[in-house]
Amino acid sequence: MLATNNILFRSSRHFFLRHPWQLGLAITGIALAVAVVVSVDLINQSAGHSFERSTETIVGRATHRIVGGPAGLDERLYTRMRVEYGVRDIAPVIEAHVTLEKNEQRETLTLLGLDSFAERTFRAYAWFDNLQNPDGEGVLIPLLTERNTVLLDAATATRLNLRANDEATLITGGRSIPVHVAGILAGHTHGSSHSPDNLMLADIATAQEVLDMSGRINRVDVVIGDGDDSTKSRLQSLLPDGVALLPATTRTRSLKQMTGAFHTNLTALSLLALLVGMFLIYNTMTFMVMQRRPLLGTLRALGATRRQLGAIIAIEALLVGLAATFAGLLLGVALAHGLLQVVNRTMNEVYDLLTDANLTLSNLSLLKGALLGMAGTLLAAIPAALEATRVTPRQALLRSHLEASAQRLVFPASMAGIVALGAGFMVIQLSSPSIELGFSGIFIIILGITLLIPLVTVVLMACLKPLLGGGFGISGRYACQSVTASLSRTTAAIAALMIAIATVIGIGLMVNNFRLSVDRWLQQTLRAEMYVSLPSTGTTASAHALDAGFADAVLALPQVKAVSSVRRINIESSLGQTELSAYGLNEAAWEGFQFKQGEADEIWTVFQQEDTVIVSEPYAWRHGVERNAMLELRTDNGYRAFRVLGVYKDYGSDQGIVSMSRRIYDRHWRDDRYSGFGIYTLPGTDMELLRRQVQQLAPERDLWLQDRNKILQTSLEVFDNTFVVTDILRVLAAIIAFIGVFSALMALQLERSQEHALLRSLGFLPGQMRRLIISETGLLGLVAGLLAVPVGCIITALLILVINRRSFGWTMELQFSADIVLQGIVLGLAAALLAGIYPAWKISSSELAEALRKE
Amino acid sequence: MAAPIIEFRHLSKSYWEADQEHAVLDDVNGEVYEGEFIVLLGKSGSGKSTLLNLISGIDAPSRGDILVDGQSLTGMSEDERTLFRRRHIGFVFQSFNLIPTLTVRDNLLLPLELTGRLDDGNRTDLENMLEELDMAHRIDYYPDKLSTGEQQRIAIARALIHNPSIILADEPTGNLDHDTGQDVLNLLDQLVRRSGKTMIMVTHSREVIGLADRLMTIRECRLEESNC
Repeated sequence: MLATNNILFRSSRHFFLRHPWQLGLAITGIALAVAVVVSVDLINQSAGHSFERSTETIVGRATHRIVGGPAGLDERLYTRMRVEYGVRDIAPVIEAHVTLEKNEQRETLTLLGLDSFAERTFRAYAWFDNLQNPDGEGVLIPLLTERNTVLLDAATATRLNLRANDEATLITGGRSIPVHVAGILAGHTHGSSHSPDNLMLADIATAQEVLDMSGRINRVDVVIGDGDDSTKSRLQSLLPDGVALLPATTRTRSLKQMTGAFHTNLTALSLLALLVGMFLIYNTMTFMVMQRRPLLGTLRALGATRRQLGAIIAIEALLVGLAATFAGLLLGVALAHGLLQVVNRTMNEVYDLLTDANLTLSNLSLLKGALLGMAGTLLAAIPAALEATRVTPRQALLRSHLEASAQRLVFPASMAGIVALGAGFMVIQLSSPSIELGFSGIFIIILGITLLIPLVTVVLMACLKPLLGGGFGISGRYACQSVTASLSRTTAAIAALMIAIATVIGIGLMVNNFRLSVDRWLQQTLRAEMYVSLPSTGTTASAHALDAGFADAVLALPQVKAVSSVRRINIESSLGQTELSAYGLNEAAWEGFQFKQGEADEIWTVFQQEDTVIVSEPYAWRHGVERNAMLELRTDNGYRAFRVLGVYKDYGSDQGIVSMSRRIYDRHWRDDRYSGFGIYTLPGTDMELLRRQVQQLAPERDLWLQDRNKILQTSLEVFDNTFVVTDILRVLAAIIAFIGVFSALMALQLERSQEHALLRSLGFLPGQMRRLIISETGLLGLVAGLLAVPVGCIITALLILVINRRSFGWTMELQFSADIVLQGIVLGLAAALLAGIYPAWKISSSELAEALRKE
Repeated sequence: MAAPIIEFRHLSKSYWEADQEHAVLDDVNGEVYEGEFIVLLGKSGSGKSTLLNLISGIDAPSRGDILVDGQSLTGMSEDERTLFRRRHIGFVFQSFNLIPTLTVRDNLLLPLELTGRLDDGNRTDLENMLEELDMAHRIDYYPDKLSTGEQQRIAIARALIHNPSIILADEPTGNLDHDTGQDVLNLLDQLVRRSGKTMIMVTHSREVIGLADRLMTIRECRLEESNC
């Protein structure tokens, strides 16, 4: 038995040695599919770790936090609690995103202003006893006594080439402030398993000074033991109106929710690439077995058992899978390295998270990739192995048996396809709001359409035969006939190509529609000619603000017709952390709002008068808020209920925004500052002159001044950056498909090289043979392309109407761009036509007598 | 005597193997006349199939010339040789060589379509021919559903359907049992003789040798001729 197997394996090895390109392409295709899945998983894991690390660094061991209104807390509250009420496990915190510059190199960092003496329980690395340079030199004294003195984490210091006692420039709120780097935080900080990154530590007084927060702090961190309700109650009783004790996890949870959809979408995209990869593996393994059907038949005739043949095929699949998986893991790690930079940029630009995630080589991710590669290859080889081992020796030698089986399956497969389509749509319909089930529905629909491929192919070929016969003569007719006659081979190739093109079209159209919607929304929303604010990032938005005097001064400028204002703050609501925008709008600005629920006229009449809000579409979706619902917001006078007047379209934040009029805001919050202004100018205004005049109104600050067009351009650039990863994965899916289809079609043609030689001996001219082969592969590409258009459009519609809605709450316009559809079809046709070139060249240039002799 | 339909002039064919020229045919001369039935003999590997390939234009000679109906094949391009083969040659192979992805009907229509002579009249001829071969009931079968004898009968029909002037048969009974082979030979002889075509057949069958007009034997790369 063993000896027989050895001979069988030698035969198998010889086959692969004779078809090295096929083996190479199969390994490349599988490796790419594994690489995409592994890289996305590694990115998600690394981003998650980085997020947890940064949370641990900043939140420390705090279980709760005491927070105030938009202006933060009066620092005296902390003093009173500690000194008068004797509360011990508390620590004051100022937290803001700032920019640090050294030698024209900039990094955005989290500035933590802390009281080192209160930090022992919270962030051990910041406790005064642990504050020393890596060389053991203490840095507490300069930190407390010297003006604008800070500490940096080691990684940031290395990146900015900064050492202890160096000088740098801190940029915040439009001001540049020189700072002294007193020391570098030790690599592995006390009580923590990792090194902090993107962190600047300062004494709380320094932070107050540089952030212009004199006498104020952002929050007070608190540690309350599990189940210690009495401490919690006591603390709550000590807090004045407008100040709340909240669990620390609410912040972490909302940050996690914020990026969750982004990562889910990445995972789904990688799974789509895997689906293409699985088809490719199936295709490749099927071909490798089918090509040897006569050989397998001969071996069966010679006495090889089904089990022996099955074992050979399984071991072949195992070896191919092993090689491909190994290559895929290496490639995946390399790809993750590259993609992580792009994802970091998206996290920073779009989600305002200071993540500079380094690649974490998670064993789990690698194991998942290895399992997917191996299991995928083995699973995909099963149908082919079963087919080869089930048939009798005589049947194995008969091509017609295989094709007859394929023809017999056309009708049942089509029926199964229709059932799968129905099931897919039903899953989508019934699975709201689950994103994962939404994607499952899409996959089932794709499977359903795949099962319809044989029927569509047969019908299309019957329709095209007279047409191609007219155009290309016998080559065209024969090509159509041949595609139908080889359904067992052609269906899988068409399916793989169709899915790949549909993915390329679907995602391309989705991004295009998204961009179009955002562009139109921006065009409508940005009504002012110029916008002004202080440069800031999310968490510092409340801290850096302009006052009402500035608005008056702007309005007094001769070219200015009107000014609108906005104040953005983060507050707590009955539905969790909420971004609130208080608008001082004029009628022109009203035009910028498109309401999905509620009538504009009615809304604007009530908006300025009563305790009402309007909410953005994502907010309404995430929290299930509808028109006329009551929303409780934590004001400076405690929680107050606001009626929701309407839901408006907004692509600015996927977490959603609650908006109210400035007049109502002033009623409930003691905050006279503004985050930004929209400036409406008179016709013929010199914008450059206006820009200079506005800047002169706040000479000590570097204002963020942008005209409408610049904002449009920048916003779309950010949008494009967000979708860079999507585009890369889309291209990778296309490459995987290209390789797979190229390999499958080439195998299909090379397998028939003897038939081609025979046709030449019967009188086919070399040119006719070339046309025939190219027509055949082209027809496969055409069928795949034609099917991919509706499938791509269905994927687009589902991504827009189901997935994006469930992920972000956005509704988008649904338009089909001919360009992108055409790109998809061209991709399919190009892959198919290219795959035909080598066999066409080979048959037309080879010695006919030699080819026949092989026969 | 009429001019020969096929003429070999100092025909040589050699192959290169491992940097060594290996001669298969060397300075072959000979003539075949219209309507003749020639049996080509020779040991295995002596060059019989090569000579058929040269006559059909499938292969090109290394030296010398072949004239078919006065046309020299040596100077022809690949395309010209293919067009020549399409019009003048009907080939019957030892292993039948039917196109596996085409039905019997389509296998037979293929040469007609290639020569641009596919019309309703030809379709009727095809049906009549299949009736005569007792194969009409198999018209929509794929080749691998036919017995070997049936496959060879279809292969013969395919070689004749477009009415070529020369039939080349390379051991047409080599894969058949004796009785079936006999049937096939009788059929071939009957169809070719009746239509007055020229036929060159490679065979080892003694029965066929008896039917032939002349015997040609390839021995040590040369062509020797003898009457039956």
